[in-house]
Amino acid sequence: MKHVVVLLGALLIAAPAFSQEENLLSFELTEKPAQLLQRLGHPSLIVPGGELESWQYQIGIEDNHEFSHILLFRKATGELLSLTRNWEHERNVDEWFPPAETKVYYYSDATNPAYGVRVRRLSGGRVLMAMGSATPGQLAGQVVLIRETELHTFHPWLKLD
Amino acid sequence: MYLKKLAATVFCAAMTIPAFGQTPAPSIRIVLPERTRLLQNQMVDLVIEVRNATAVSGLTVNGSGLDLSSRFGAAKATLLDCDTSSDWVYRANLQSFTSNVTLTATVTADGKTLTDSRTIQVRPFAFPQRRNIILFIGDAMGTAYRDSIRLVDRATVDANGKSAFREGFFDTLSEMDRMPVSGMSMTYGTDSIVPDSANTGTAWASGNKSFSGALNVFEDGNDCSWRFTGVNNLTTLPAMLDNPRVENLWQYLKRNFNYRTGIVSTAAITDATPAAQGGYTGYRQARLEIARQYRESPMLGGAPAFDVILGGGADPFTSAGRRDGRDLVGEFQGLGYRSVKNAKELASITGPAPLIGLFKGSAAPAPSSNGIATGDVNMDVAYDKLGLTRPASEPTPSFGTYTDQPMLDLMTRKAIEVLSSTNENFILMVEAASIDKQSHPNNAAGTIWDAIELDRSVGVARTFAAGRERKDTLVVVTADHDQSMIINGVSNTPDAEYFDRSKKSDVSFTTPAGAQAFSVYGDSYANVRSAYPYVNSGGAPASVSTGPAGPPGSFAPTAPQLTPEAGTLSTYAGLSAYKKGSNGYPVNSGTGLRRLAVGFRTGDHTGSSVPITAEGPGALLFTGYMDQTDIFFKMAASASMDTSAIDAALDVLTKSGGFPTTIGK
Repeated sequence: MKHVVVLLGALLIAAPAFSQEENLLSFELTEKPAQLLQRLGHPSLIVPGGELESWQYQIGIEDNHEFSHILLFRKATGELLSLTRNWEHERNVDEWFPPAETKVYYYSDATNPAYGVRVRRLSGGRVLMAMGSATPGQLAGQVVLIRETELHTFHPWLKLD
Repeated sequence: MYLKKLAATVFCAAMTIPAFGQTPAPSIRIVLPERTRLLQNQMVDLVIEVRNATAVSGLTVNGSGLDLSSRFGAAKATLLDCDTSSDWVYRANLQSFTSNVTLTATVTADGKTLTDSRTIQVRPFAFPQRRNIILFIGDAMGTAYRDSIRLVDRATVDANGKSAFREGFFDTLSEMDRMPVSGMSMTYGTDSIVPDSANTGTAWASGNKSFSGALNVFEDGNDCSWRFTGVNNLTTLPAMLDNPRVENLWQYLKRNFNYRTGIVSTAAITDATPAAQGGYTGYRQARLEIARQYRESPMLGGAPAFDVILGGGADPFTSAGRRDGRDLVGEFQGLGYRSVKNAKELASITGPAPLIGLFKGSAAPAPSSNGIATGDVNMDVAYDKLGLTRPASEPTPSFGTYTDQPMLDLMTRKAIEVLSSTNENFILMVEAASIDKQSHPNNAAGTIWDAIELDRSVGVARTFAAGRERKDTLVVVTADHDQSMIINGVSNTPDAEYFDRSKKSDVSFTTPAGAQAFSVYGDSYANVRSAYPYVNSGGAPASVSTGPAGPPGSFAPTAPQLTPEAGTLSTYAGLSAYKKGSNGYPVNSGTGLRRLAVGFRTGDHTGSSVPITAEGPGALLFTGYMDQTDIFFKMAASASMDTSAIDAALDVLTKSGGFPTTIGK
């Protein structure tokens, strides 16, 4: 039994990491934790709390300020709720936001001027968001893939048409 | 394959344990860590969270017999834990205590009476001894990094060929080596064995532990909206700024005892380590907010947090770099601060007027797309400022228009001069940031010379402290966390190989997730990067390697050599042999040079404890293993307590001549 535990640990540690050019759209948000472990490897940090659990990866990031990939699960069911992708250097994300399929929404409050997000509905109840990037060509440091049913919880200001 | 599937199944099962109990019962929580420790009158936000209740009423909060209820505002309906239940938050901002206190909070929630309690340990701070504190942080400066200072900067050979490092002894140890008291600091965070620069800074600055990325705040119930999702931008900024804050020592001493305060760093000055002395946010990258808090500190009623600010990262202080369009440098100048932008201007500074010096920024500052940060522009590293040629595998410098950046020792000297120019006492933090920033990409030369630059700065502070008529200045040198550099030995690689960017050996291998590719250059014997397989070239230079992988020891030629010290490949034996340049720093080139050979196992922080050295009043407090939060209380004790007995004992140990002393110390 002891050998099995050791081997399990070794296999988990040896699981492959993200490819640098991963296709975010290939995530269906129906993947199970076990599948994601096999696909992505072991996260750098796991943040548990309440009903949620966050797996945070640091791949291709050198400055240690951000995690590159953040996966959010509902702990009781193992559902993958969202995947957040950060880049160390902001980049053009137009390839994922064709104008015909993209709408722009703005967040603002009393102290902040409008903050724009490009939003694209995808199949399977998924939503892709370019945070702070309201127009084609405007660079983004972060793209979020999330279940539309979770928007009201994690982005309550965002009401899709 | 079977085992891998089994592992996945086990993990999956662990994630799918059903939650028992259909409707969560109402609960109450005082949002403070179990082991909260404060100084007398150190301010902290008291926050009480009530979960899963449709209505709350009748909050009472008692603190060791004192009714604190009236200090709390009305209950605010809030969504905690990112679920659908109804939750409430009570706040009493910036409270303080004079002695140990047990807080007991009671509230009626949906007709039920709920109670929580938390004990806060409060240390006295009643009789300040009017002492100065200078804290040096070598970011990621674990033991191997300190070793590298000694083995490069203190192992030099003079013009007559005489080495200052002979028979295993140094003529003179490094500045930080020569400090009389040493200890070790445990750096663990609340959420990870391996911490970051924010929560480690929180530990020494505020005396309390927190989570990765946190600056002088504790976790709270709505962190799930940003910390769990990674969605860090304007939409989640309010949730990053409402975490319970705990005052740090810089504002505490300024507010209560009129200390002058300073931060000096080779990083962007809003980076995590300097920000730990003046920022209050759960998210270290909220740079625009951190810069604003430097200008108008929440602990000081909106007054500036510091009298001296020296570092990189001008962008968040400019109107172009900020969403609110504020010109913070201009605002500081309006308050009497002098502004300098290069080494020449800094060198000319005299007198006590406050000072802001931002020595590098973007060519065109602009807010980041997340709306809460700017470009992260650190100062260039010591190796490049000295004009040394980078090894083949390390990036060449890019100064832009910032061609006259000061060395850290000049920044330190000027900060001390300004801060000590009045009758008030001062507290100063000085950071060598790129020890860490160059370790992340495994740039050995960049890392080591930055560590040497820090040691020069420590020397400036030691000289200042020694020259004080009243021995009133404590100097402490430590790190926030470790990184994975190790000392391998020495490398005999000749300059022609070490610096040649045209020759490299490309290595790639395929994983199920894609190809991984990198290049091995001729400097690899002196710097075994974490990604490298250990190439045994059978005696050939690393840049033309064709041999199989092997462990580091196989770098040594496989064929016997009668004169290995004369070989051009790494032997991992012998002593380093640098020469000093005209600027006093060791030069990383020259015929026959035996370079220090190091390696990196990862490109990230580690969970190892880090050294701490101290000198001055109360220094003996810093001996032995300690928690990083203890540094806060030991610095405070040095400033507030009569330490004459332990100072005298230390003098007997180190200066009486009656006890053994260390060669070179």
